[in-house]
Amino acid sequence: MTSDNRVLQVENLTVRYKNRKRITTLVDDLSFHVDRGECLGILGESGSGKSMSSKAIMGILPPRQFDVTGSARFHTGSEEPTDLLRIKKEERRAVRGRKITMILQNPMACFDPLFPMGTQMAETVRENTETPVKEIRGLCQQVLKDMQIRSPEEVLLKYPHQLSGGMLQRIMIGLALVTKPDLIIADEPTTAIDSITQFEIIGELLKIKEQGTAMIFISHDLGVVNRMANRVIVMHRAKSLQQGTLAEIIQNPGDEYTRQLVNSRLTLVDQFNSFLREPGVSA
Amino acid sequence: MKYYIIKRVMATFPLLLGISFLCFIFINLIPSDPAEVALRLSQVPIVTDELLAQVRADMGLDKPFLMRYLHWLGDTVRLDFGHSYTNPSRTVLGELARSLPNTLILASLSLVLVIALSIPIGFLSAVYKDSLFDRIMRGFVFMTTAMPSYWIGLIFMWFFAIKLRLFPISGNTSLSHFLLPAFTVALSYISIYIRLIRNNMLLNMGQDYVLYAQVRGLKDGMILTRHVLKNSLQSCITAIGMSIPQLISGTIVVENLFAINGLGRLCIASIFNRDYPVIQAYVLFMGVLFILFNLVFDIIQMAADPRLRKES
Ligand SMILES: Nc1ncnc2c1ncn2[C@@H]1O[C@H](COP(=O)(O)OP(=O)(O)OP(=O)(O)O)[C@@H](O)[C@H]1O
Ligand SMILES: [Mg+2]
Repeated sequence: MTSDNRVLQVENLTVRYKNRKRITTLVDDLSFHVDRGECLGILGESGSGKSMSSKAIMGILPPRQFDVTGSARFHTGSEEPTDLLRIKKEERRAVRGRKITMILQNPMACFDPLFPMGTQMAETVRENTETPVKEIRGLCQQVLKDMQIRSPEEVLLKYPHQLSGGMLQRIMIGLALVTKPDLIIADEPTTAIDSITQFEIIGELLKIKEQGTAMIFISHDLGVVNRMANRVIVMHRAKSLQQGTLAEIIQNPGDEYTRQLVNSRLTLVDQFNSFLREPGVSA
Repeated sequence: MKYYIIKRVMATFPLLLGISFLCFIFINLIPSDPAEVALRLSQVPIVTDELLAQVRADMGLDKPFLMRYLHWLGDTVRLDFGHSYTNPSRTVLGELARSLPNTLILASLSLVLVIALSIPIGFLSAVYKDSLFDRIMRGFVFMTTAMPSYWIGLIFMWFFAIKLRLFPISGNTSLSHFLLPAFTVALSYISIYIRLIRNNMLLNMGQDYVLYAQVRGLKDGMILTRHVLKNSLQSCITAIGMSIPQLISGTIVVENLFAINGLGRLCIASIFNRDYPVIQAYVLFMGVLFILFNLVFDIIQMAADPRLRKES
């Protein structure tokens, strides 16, 4: 059932962690697909393997410690799809950072503490785009402006520890968009951002999606997933429990865990909404 | 940052004072009477009690302890360490200055070897962890940390100088004379830094900023050299800086083994000859060296880390 619009087809993805003699399965037989202009949401409790599966697809898990099996076929244009899990080093350079980008979960630890942001952004741009050297600085400033960051010239001179988690997260999002990739994996990309900025950033991501970029969107926030995702996977203890649209899953949670997840989140949202609607509280 | 440097420099003074005080006590604990030694050395035929008292008064030995310390400190600050006992025509400062260059050549050559060998080997061992190269290097590190330098020095001398005749056996007349001893001194430091750099590299390679650098599509080589290596070296700046005074003081054994006329040899000769002013000056010199290098490299480490460096 492959369509011409298929961007990523993951089959039987399994990640095992090797620690001396003990082997733990962190992702167990996960299969899904994402099409052009589509966003797949991944829901699931903490530690269920959401980040692990995306890092495995990205190919950034050190092979010494992690054993990754299955396949992740990435379709680029009319060429034969490449299996990201078996991709050669030289080919991977053409894909990673250019055609697939990722927004990692903990922005505070993701930049080299010894280099200013400008240098790190510039090296990313230089590596993945054909931007002329003279225009790189300007492009970096534009990226920051697009991400609602004020006084970009100063931010470029700052070191990672001088910026807030939310700013770093927005810079990561900006860098993920700058190469106009075919697929963006966003791992809880808006957790450190205040709700007003979050609203604008989600708007930015939606625009990118409409332009045809496929997305994998990991989040705990049902509201955000509802705005972003066309389909949703629910993960629990390294396995995927259910796939479908968010509405389907909410109306018909197939198993106990999903029911709990949906209920707890919905109660939270309900409480929040009724709190806002209560008289006397100016919203 | 500025504030930190000032604070750090200020804190150095009491340390220096403490070192000098220890050094002075140490020489006063020695059981022989400086006045007697001085008389004997100036070849006075009969040492009478009056003469001794006279010399004591001249040397200020009858004054209270603290007074004597302050007096000595005053001289020391003016770099006046007095005269050698065994060679009264020579000043202690002159003796030190005469021996220092050879020790400095030896120590700097060792430092060059340490840096030139341990950084690339540590880097490659981490990048190719568990490869044949890494395993051989781990064996090398294990072996050299267990071998004392006088033994290694003798083995080198026997093998490279006597068997292969590649290097002169001893002396200090040309650069090739220094190569074997420098390598002997450097060897244990090389293993220490191979291990330090390898471990630092491995630690850094698991960090999120390395994962994200891969996500950003940077080349592996660029990630390793520009980011991982820099971070790994950053955290050993002080350790490497502190190895400089260690190298300078650590040449004692090797200088004697290879007959190099440096500070270490002067120190040993003075100990045999009970030439206390020279020993005292040597000990003080080393103490000051350690304190100063610690100060300088702490500040450098600080300046090299944007998280510690604050704009002022
Ligand atoms: N570097 C690592 N080495 C070994 N095990 C790890 C490592 N990182 C995570 N794990 C384990 O892998 C499992 C899945 O972790 P993962 O980060 O994918 O969870 P997650 O679903 O992203 O959770 P969260 O919502 O908190 O981000 C967890 O049990 C965790 O303990
Ligand atoms: Mg996660």
